[in-house]
Amino acid sequence: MPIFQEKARILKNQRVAQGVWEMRLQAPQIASAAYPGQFAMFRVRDELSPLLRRPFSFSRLNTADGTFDILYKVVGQGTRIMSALSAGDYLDILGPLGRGFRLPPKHAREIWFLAGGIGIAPFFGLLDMLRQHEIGFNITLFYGAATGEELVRCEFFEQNNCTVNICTDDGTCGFHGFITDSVERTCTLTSVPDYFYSCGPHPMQQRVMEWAKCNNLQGQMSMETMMACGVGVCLGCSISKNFFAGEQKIETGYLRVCREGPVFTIGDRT
Amino acid sequence: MTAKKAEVNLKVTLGPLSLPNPVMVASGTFGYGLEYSSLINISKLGGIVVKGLSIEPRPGNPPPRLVETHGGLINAIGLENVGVDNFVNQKLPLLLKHEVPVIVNIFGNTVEEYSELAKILDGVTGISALEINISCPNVKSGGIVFGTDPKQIQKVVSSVRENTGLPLITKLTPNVTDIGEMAKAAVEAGTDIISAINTVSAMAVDINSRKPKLGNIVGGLSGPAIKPIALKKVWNILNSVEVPVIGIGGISNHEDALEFLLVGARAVQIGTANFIHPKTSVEIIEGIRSFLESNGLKDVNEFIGSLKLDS
Ligand SMILES: Cc1cc2nc3c(=O)[nH]c(=O)nc-3n(C[C@H](O)[C@H](O)[C@H](O)COP(=O)(O)OP(=O)(O)OC[C@H]3O[C@@H](n4cnc5c(N)ncnc54)[C@H](O)[C@@H]3O)c2cc1C
Ligand SMILES: Cc1cc2nc3c(=O)[nH]c(=O)nc-3n(C[C@H](O)[C@H](O)[C@H](O)COP(=O)(O)O)c2cc1C
Ligand code: FES
Repeated sequence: MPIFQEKARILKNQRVAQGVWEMRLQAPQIASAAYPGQFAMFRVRDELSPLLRRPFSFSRLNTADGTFDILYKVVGQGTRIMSALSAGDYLDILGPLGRGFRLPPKHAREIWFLAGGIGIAPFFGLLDMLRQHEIGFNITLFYGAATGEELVRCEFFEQNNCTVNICTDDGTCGFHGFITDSVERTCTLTSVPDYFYSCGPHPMQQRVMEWAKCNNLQGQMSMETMMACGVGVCLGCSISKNFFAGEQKIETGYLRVCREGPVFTIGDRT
Repeated sequence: MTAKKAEVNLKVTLGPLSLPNPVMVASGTFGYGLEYSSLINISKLGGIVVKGLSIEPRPGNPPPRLVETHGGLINAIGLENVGVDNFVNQKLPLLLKHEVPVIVNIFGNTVEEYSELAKILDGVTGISALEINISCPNVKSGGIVFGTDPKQIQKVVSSVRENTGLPLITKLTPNVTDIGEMAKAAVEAGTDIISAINTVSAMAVDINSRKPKLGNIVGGLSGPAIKPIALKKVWNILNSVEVPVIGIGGISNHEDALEFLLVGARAVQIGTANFIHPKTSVEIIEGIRSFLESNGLKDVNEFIGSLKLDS
């Protein structure tokens, strides 16, 4: 898979929720080679501070006009610099990188999306991908945020025939509690999903993994770790194979989130 | 313009090792050579130093393995690698399709492991040189890092020397009081070339979680932050031994590279900068060429070691 380095022109950069920004970039080579769930490494400015590139998932791919969107949360120096950029500015971007989402196995109809915080980002592209497929999947989104103000574009999922379950840590919107609590409750009360996709902070993903193991579920998880290169050479982004191993299995060794991931398949391989 | 470019000589000779230009990529920052090949023409490089190899594959350290600091990167990868057999059988043949000197970086935890690696690689065609990473603990000497003790350095380097006729580079750690002593030990044991520096030992902690930021607790600092340290270490080595020296540490552009050449390094390696801008090394080669041209120099060797010391 070729990797491109492009000077991408920013077409828009706007705040879409509390602390969350959306950026659209013109990067024809990257946009036309990318798949949902993949990511790109952004150099936020030409100087060497911050030193490293920052990884962001594609939220939507607009192959036809050579653009893509990202949704990002302002958490530190790099994302603060990005939020101050305007349409017409340029960013140096490396991508597309990693393995994106795969389609669910043939038998799957009931699909659950589990998104924690800014982990919602890749689900827009995933939904586009699944809605293009001939099978009419029944999709339920579980979307958790710290507070209602941080929720991003829930209406997109509603308009695309998803059942949307909102959870907030402070109870300002939807279910009062963690998304994993909501998922566990729903899973015992009603039917279990045929397949799931999840993306969110590490503690959430740990609980999702436990839930998936307990209920013997199959799915795909998009993981985040610190990255230096994003292309597989520094071996810095590793995650333990054991994280994904089944109940009894103990596996040694590591996988690179930037190459073997960021999206990993859970349960039986399909 | 192109005719003029051809006039500048960038070839350098480091004892038994000749390179098309003085700019290589450093071990651990360029994988096994091909990962960046869709972004840059790797045949333009002065050389590729591959990720450090041990006899058996290694899983590496528990994550997190990276921390970013001001102008630097602390890593604790733990020398994860595919093992020498996988490298020779699977990675090397693909790399050799490109015309670029391949330098194999090796490490072990016993003197025997180093000599075994030298024996294995000595018979492999296509390798331009071996680089011995001595920044690892000797398990038979209570975990003392080989590169911090002149006696251990002698043992490792001579055991490799006895088992290969390949040009030999010894890569020194900066985490010593007197790097000149270490360089002397390596030269006495038969190294042809010295490269320096490896990463500077470092640590980072989180005041909120009260935990170390690295799974391994401590790691090694690289990147622009270490450049002045590296330059001084290279200077120390040049003042202690006669063999050619390769400068490494924080080089991010052609000016940084020229600084190392100016103090006397015969070549340089680019590490962390590859992550930030994969084209760094090829741009440095062009930058050196233009610098020499605009300073009326026809040969990079005229610039190497031309530091003016008296006022
Ligand atoms: C494959 C991948 C995809 C990602 N996609 C998105 C996305 O679509 N939207 C989004 O907002 N964020 C995403 N992230 C996280 C994003 O890369 C970090 O939030 C960003 O690098 C922080 O940069 P900063 O300079 O603003 O913060 P820093 O000052 O560098 O750090 C601030 C905080 O962010 C954490 N952080 C830094 N780098 C990472 C990282 N690589 N992964 C996770 N946490 C990190 C730090 O530990 C610290 O707590 C993704 C990360 C990965 C690995
Ligand atoms: C992620 C990473 C992995 C490295 N792995 C190795 C290695 O396997 N063997 C080795 O001799 N040096 C290794 N190094 C050290 C570099 O080759 C180089 O000496 C050091 O990073 C300083 O140069 P820089 O500041 O240009 O990065 C590694 C450095 C980094 C950042
Ligand atoms: S970020 Fe370097 S190997 Fe994944």
